[in-house]
Amino acid sequence: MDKSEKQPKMSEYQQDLINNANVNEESIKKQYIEENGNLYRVPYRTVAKVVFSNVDKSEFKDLEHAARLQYRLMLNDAILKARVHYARGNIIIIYNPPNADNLKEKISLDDIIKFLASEGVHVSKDHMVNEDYDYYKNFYSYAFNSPSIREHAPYGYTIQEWKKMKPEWEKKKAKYKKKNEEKFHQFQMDYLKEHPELAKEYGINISEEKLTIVQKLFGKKKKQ
Amino acid sequence: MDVLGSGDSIGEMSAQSASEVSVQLDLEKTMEEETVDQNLISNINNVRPESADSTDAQAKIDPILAPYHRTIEEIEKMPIIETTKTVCPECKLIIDGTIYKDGDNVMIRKNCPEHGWTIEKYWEDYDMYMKMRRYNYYGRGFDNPNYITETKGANCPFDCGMCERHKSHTGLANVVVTNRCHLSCWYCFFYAKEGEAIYEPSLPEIEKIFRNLRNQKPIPANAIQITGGEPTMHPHIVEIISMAKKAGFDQIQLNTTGINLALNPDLGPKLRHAGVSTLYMSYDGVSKRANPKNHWEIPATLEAARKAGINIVLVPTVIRTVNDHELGAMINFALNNSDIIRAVNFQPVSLVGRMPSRLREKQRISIPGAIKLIEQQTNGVVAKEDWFSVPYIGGINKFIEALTGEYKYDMSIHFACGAGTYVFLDSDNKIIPITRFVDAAGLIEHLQRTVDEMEGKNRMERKLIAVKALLGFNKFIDKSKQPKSVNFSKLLMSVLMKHDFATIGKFQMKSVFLGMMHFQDEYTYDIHRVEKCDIHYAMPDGEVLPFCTFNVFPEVYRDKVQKQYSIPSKEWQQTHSDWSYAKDKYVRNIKQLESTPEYRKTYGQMIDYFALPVNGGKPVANFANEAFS
Repeated sequence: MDKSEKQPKMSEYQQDLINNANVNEESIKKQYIEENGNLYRVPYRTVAKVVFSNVDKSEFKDLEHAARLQYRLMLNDAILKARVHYARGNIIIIYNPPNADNLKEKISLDDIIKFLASEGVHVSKDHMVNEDYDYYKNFYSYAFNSPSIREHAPYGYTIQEWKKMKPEWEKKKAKYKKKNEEKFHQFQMDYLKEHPELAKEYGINISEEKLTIVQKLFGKKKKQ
Repeated sequence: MDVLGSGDSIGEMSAQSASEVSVQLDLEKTMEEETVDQNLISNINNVRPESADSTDAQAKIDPILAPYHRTIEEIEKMPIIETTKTVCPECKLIIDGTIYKDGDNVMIRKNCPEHGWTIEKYWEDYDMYMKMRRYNYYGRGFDNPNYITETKGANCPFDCGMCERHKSHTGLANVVVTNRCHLSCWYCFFYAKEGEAIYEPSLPEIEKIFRNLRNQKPIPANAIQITGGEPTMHPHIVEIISMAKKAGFDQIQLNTTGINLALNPDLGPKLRHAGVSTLYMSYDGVSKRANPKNHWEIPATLEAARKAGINIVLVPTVIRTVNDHELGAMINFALNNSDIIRAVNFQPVSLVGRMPSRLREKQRISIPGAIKLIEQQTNGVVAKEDWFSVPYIGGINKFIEALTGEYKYDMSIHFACGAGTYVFLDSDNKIIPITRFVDAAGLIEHLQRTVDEMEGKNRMERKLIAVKALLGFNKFIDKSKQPKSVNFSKLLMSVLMKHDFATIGKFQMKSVFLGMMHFQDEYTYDIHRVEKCDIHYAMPDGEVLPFCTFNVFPEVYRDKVQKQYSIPSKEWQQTHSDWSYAKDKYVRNIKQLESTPEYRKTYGQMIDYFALPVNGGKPVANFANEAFS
């Protein structure tokens, strides 16, 4: 053990401060994307995707070891996603390359190949496609707007039956939504009446509700 | 060693912290010596090789621990119940798992080619396992999974995102709004320790996560849990709740220690007005020793929740030899405050990470283990027969869905993940579990037959079948035994025919729900369970993860993604110039808290509903602290 190893490890925050000592406003702004006037943190933009194909299956050993290799790849902070496909003999890795314009950890393609070799999987550059990958468009935006890839019918119905029933259900759903919103709004108004200090703080004027002629004559129906 | 489980405390005991516990040190030492003496394959290998004195040694072993101390030859002769896929706790290799019967226990065994055998308790009651298993069914996953895997989930549990292989929709969505916490519990890994990066998404980012959950098909997430860290540390927590309500969530839970509600009486009404339905509150026991986290603040939190009209779910993490002696007392505490406490949701500990096998054996408790202790500690008032697995409810939902043609919430989690029952507090202080007046098993079979009969029929025919089925309900309800304050047939009719779920709320007013939720760890890991999980985490990158991948493999899911989306230190400094780690921390004045009227009232005079003879409760002074001092 050398002297440096005896020193206490630096915290992530302190390390980050050192790593990002030269980070300027511009770099911080680059971490955000704007959608409909709002800013969202998206730590990556253009990263890289490498696909290694024709991998010798015997080097994977079996499906289980292939899955563990996938796990081990994902342990690396600079690897965003990894998929090891035993049956097809390929490896797909989305990673943050050294030339990527972001503040996160990076890894080179050579280091990935070295890592795979250390795991007993020898990939060839001849069977490799390495290309830019738009993280925002292909990963983030997909996950937040994922399209339907199949359809399940409610229990006791076939898909054909369900397709006929669906438009009616959609209408009902919209009606329930509206009803729920109204119900909640009413709850909030009643709640503010019970907590006038909150109404005052929120600057909401809780006036007495107007009674109908029937209510004036026979009184308000008691709440259940 | 990590301990995973309570309401907001997905806990960790780091190896370093653990070494501070002298008992544990002794155990580790003992184990180390044994490892050398008995030439075990590795320290996770629980299977002792046969030796001349092994029979003597076994005779001395606590019967609870006996299943851990058998030879592999003995274990392999045990009857196999089923097989599954699991992981090696050491190297995460996916390996075969065999679930087998060992006396009254259900155990799981697995053999990693590199790290040897691991034996772990899966369920501590074979009969209960077989009973719960009957209700298992496959639900519907997502029609629009957030991530398409090239492997189609073949590498489960390392393909999460959520992938198309998953078999349950989101039943409860967890959204982490900050990793800051005002406490620094020694066993917790779910908060930013000093110097660690801060993850605290902005309001638009959180709103985007909410919309994503509501966009799930075919069944949008409808119940959400705002969690942390301590979520009330987020400066815009009220706005977050408001946004969740606007997004359309019906059930909004706040996973909290409750301390900030106790300290800030204005917060409760704001949260309730914004739409919080329930405080999901960590609560590990009635005594100071079992619940050092918030024992002193709970009385003020209950008072604040009463004033605000927010329901509370108590969430005890159950650890054998730590707080397993207080399970009955915790239910009793809930019954004493049943005007505000709606449920106790026990979470048998999940032992995440590396830990010595002896310590693991000592602390391990499963759902039936906790249920059996509750039976003992309530003097048989809440018996093991009173509990049903969560997918049992699926039978009722399927019936309503088949009748109406509208999607209802599935409860298709694995039967070994959760269980529950209702107990009623009757007017004469008697406690009556629901199963004492409802033939729950018979009722669900009756409904299932009705669902089968409805298939292929038109709407009118379905209604006629349903009416016929409902007319037969009375034979499953013993009115002479039901609580005086409840008309169960009427209530059930209202839910099934009018789909009036508001009546369930009224039903809950007169009852306390007792639940069990056992999250997995690397030792008990069962892929059949995780692929059916319906407690999900919504991530800032748009992905949705099952609880037991998010927390069991944090290095590739939770911590990895939160680190990606954490706020760079430079940016945090710029936007929070007067912030310091120490300022976030809560300092407690025990003397002052113990002298408050709320504290004396809450822990002073209580009714012991389970005191012998069990016939209607007995007032007890200083219940919480006397009983366990």
